[in-house]
Order: sequence, then C-alpha cells, then structure tokens
Amino acid sequence: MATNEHGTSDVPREQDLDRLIGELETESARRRAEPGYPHDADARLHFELARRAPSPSSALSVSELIATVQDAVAASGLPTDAAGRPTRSRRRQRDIGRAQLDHVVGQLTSLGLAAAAALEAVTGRLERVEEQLSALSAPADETIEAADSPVADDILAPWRGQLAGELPTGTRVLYAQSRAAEVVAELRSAGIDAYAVTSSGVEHQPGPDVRHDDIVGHLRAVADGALGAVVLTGLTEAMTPSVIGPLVKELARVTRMVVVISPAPWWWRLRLGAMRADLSAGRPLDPDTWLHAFHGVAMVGTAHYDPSGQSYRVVARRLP
Amino acid sequence: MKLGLLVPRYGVDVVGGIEHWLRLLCEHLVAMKGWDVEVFTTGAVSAATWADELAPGDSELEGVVVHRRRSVSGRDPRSGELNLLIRRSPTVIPESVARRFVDLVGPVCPDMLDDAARSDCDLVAVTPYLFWPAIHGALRLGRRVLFHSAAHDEPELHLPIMRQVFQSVGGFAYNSYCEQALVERTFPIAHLPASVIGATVVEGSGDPAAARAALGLAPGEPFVLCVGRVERGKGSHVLAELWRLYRQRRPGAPRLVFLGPVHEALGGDDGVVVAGRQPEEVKWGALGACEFVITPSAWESFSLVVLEAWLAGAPVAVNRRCEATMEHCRRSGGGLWFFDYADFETVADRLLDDSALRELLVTNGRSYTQRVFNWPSIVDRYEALAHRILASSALHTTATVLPA
Repeated sequence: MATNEHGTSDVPREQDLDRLIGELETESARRRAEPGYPHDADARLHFELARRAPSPSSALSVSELIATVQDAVAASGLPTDAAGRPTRSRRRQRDIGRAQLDHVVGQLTSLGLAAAAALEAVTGRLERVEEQLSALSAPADETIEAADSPVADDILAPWRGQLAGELPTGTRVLYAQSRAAEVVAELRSAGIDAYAVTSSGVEHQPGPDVRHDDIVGHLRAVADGALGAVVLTGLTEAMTPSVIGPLVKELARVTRMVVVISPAPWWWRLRLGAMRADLSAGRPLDPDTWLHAFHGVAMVGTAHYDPSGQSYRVVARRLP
Repeated sequence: MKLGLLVPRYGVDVVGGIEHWLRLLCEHLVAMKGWDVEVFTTGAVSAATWADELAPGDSELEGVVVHRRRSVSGRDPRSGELNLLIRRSPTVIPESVARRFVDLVGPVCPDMLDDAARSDCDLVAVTPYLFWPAIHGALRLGRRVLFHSAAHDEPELHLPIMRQVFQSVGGFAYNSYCEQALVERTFPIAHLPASVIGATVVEGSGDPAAARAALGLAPGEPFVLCVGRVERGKGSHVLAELWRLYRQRRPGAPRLVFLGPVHEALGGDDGVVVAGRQPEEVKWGALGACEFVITPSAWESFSLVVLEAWLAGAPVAVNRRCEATMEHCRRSGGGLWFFDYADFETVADRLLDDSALRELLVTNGRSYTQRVFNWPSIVDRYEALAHRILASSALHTTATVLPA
C-alpha cells in the first residue's frame, strides 16, 4: 500500500475505487454508443468544459470563421440594386450558397469537436493505462526504503563513507537514489547542500530534501550548470541503453562533476542469476563505457573498483 | 526566523485568493512557531482596481506587523488591450512590452519594495507571480525570496520575462504537485528547494434545514450543489447546461443549486437554482445537506471547496481537465470525475443512487483533508522549506537583477 507524508495510506480501499472507476468508464462508453445519446450537445459543451481563461474560446473562432465566410460571399462582386443589396435572383443564389456554406462549416465544426473529444478521451485513457502499468510494475510494498534493492545497498556500502569528503560544498548536489533520505541526511549533516531524486517509493514526498521524479526528466528541468555534483547509485543498472545517452548529455549540461556508483557487471549477473539477468530491462555498464560516454561530452573521469571487485565508482569532471 | 511577506493586498477585508491564505499562514506561523512576520503591501483591497482603500502606515494584525504604502498606479484598463496581444503568442512578446504590461496590471508600489529590501527579514515570501510586486520583488530580492507563485498554465506564465523571475528566487512553495510540475516543465528551476505546502480550511457549521430554506428549497428536498463564483471561467454556465440536459434524460433528478457571488448572469429555472452569495453558515449547511458537490472549473489552483465538501460530508465530482481538483480526488479517493456528458451522467447517476459509495468517498476525502491539510502539518512543512532555503548554497549566489 502506498504511504503518504504521514506514513499512512494515501488512498484507502484503493482497489475498490480503481474497480469503480473502471466500471464507470465502461458504462460511459456504453452510453456514448446508445442511439439516443446527445452527441450534438456533447460536442457543443466540449469547449466550455475545457474553458480555462476568459479569453475568446475556440467556439468563438468558429463563429468568426462563419462570419468570415459570409463576408467573403457578400464581397464576391455580385451585382446589387440601388440599396446596395444583390439583385433578387442573385441574392437568392447567394442565400442558398450561404446556407450551404453554413451547413458545411457546421458539419466540419461538429466533426472537429467530435474528433477533439475522441482524441482527448484516447489520450486520457492512454495516460491511465500507463499509470496502471506503472503501478503494476512497482514493488508491492511501496516505500522508499523497501524499494531499494539489496544489490543497491551492497554496492553503496563501500563508497558511502567517502562520499561527503569528495563532493563540493557551497553548491547544490543532487543524489539519486539508493537510500535517498538517509544519504541526503548524512550529506547535509556534513555541510553539503544535497537533495535527492528517487523514482521508487510513493509519488508524493514529504519536504524539500527528497523528491519523486525520473532522473532524466528532473535534470531537464534544472538550469545549466546549476549543480555542483550529481551522484548516481542504485539507478544506472536498471537503465536501458537508450536512456544512457540523454542522461549523460543532461549531466554534462547541469554539472561539472558526476559520480556513478554501480555494481560490477559480473557480480550483478551472479547475484541476480543468469535468467533474471538476461531478461532484465537494464544492466550495469562496464566502467570503461561510462568513461567513454563522459569523454563524448567533454568530461574526463577515473574508475575504481572496491577491494572485493563487486562494485565500482566512476568520477567524471568537466574539462576546464 | 523572521519572515517578510510582499503581497499586493493584505488584510481582513481581502477575501479569497492566495493573499487571504497567506494572511492565515502568517498568523499561524506567529502563533505556532513564534516567528516574526512583517508584511509589505499597499492599501488595495480589490484586485480589479488596486485602488488604495486602506490608509498607509504601519500597524499590527494578529501579531503580524503590516507596512502599508501608497501605490503609484493601480490596474490600468489598457492592460486588457495588451492582454489580448499577449494571449495570442506570449512567448514572443518583447521584454519592453511585457514590462509595460506588468506596469499596467499593477499595483506599482516602489515604496513597499524598498521596505522589503531594507528589512532584516531572513526570507521574504512573495506572491502571486503575475503582478508588479512579485515580478519586481523577485528580481530585486533574489535568493531571499520564498516564492508562492500560484501559477496557472495561462499565457502570462510564458512571457519571456518570467524566466528571469522564476530563476532568481531562493525556493518555491507550491499549492499542489501539479503546480510544481507545471512550473518545473516551464522553467529550469527543479534544483532549487521546493515543497508542496497546500492550503487548509477550517470546518464550519450550519443547519441543513435552515440552509434549504435560505436557498429556496423545500424541507428535505434533495439537491446537488456548486459552490463558488458564478462565471463562465469557473464552468458555472456549462454545468447548468449539463444539468438541464441531465434532467431532460432523468426527469426525476434533483435540482442543482449554485451558491456564490454571481459575476456573470446565469438564469435559473425549474432545475437550476442560482442562490447568489450566502452567509457562511448557509454554505456549510448546504454542503452538509446536498447529495454531492460538483466543481466544474477546468482551472483551479487548489480548490478549497473540494476540501470543505469532504469536511461537511459531501462527495465531489470534478472536471477531469482540472489538474488540481483531480490531484485531490486521486490522492484521496474521495471524488469522481467527468470529461464529457456521458461521464457526467454516469457519475451523477451513481452518486445519486449509491449512498454507500457516497459514504466511502466522504470518508476517504475527509481523512485526506484532515491528515494532509491540517495547520500543524502545513506549518511544519513550511518551516522545513524555509530552513532549507536559508541553508541553501543558492542563497549566497547573485540573483539576476532587472535592468533599470
């Protein structure tokens, strides 16, 4: 069960409500398909329901479009009588033309509204499916600490005591993500202005020190050069190769120093077992791969294994 | 801790909005944490004009020291013309035009800014982002600013000048996680200390029978309620249309009551009652008596009404397009939502027919409100954020300064 900032369940009887929401959505879909469903009214109300500001709405733009079409017909150079009106037969033709245009514009408007509503519904449904998939893939006991794997703990242990001494002071330091709350507290007590990002645990986090976010997404929202250092641990071994490139690029943009703490590939495979390792979405990189990747963004680094050889640390710095 | 508050209007006469909420927060920080709080403000009461209605000078209100100064100018009607231009393409508006717009929106009050800059406050809370005091205050006070941006996804947020404003402050206090997400996807400020503080409501009381009488309803008559300003931007008119359509298809459905000041005329009929502004006890009585509350607005920054409904014992139905109310419903499990008429009809049918569901939703919503949005929690979260900003290395860096 998810926990909130007070350590209690954020959504009691969550499963019941999830089922209820599913039922309601199914029922709504059934009603939309009923013969008597008021599609016209629904389309008309669509823009009003989406009204966000007292500015002219899209519905008004459609009115303007109709007026423009009518003006264009009026200005089509038809012969007029003494009062400036089109002659009778021509005016009749123009009225018919205007009515036809109005009809076409009306049909197009309805079609547009219906399409917009359908697209928004599909988008919303996809978002919910993604949320449900995320929830399914999350650990059952979804707390920050429980979500940190034993593998991550093991690889962090040899390096944890040295971290504070190596990181810069007087600048903001980002830590992700093993034992986020504990490590950030240690770093802060050592005088380092650290905060953490974690993708495990509950979505809504207490306080300003630990936040729930995707690391690449978070880095994209950070200003150029705003961080003194970024420490990554318990994170990179779960990343797919397609994420590594954008991650390194963002790291090079926001910071001058990156520390990557990772399990050694051989030990990770041994620890997980061949089958789980092979089927895993991500896997730890060789330290040379990190060095090569950082070299590609003008950062130079060094790599060290811990005495057991089970984990390594890469420290990369931007070239002056 | 000594906190300053730079705000365009302040006082007991200022009702609603983030200024009202921050007054309560300041008073609670004084009472519960022993903080010193000074307010730097104008004599304005109405945001429509920013006219100086309150006398300038220094005073004290509930333990908070208030420095009130005269504005050089209030809201200029010409800001509306510029607003039309800004709304079309805010991202390409030149800085000079944006500055002119900010000056026209007002209230322009350099004296209050000078007071804040000269003060010995550790931090200065600044709000809301759109007005002259916040824009000039954030740029001048820089990292000392604890920014209550109260941001919406509106064109003004995307003015290029806002990037400087948001990047210059020391940290952020947000109303909701969706506001935080909006600001962080708009500006590169995710590394600065931030926390979702939220707001709170104080539960009131009211007699359901008296409320029904005041609203023109029969004794014991079931009804559905919408509380808040009656205006198109709040979704009132579209809700009235939805309800009329619903009653066409469900002839026995209860009436819908709008309770709140009418800013844009809305006609009532057999199925829709427009009750206008009512006393607080009528509002609480109505919240306690109604079948459920509907919040149709797609554009809320927090929505206290949703929390009030849960405290009073009413479940809520919200517009799925509104991130803030959806956040409350999803986090609490206390409300349902609709996107189109089909959803609306389904949700209304279910809420009217299923009393057990109503009870479950209210239980969840009330629990969430009491747990997350109580004063001790809010004040603790605020204190933690303030200390993080004070301890932040960013505090010692130079902030961007608006050129003369």
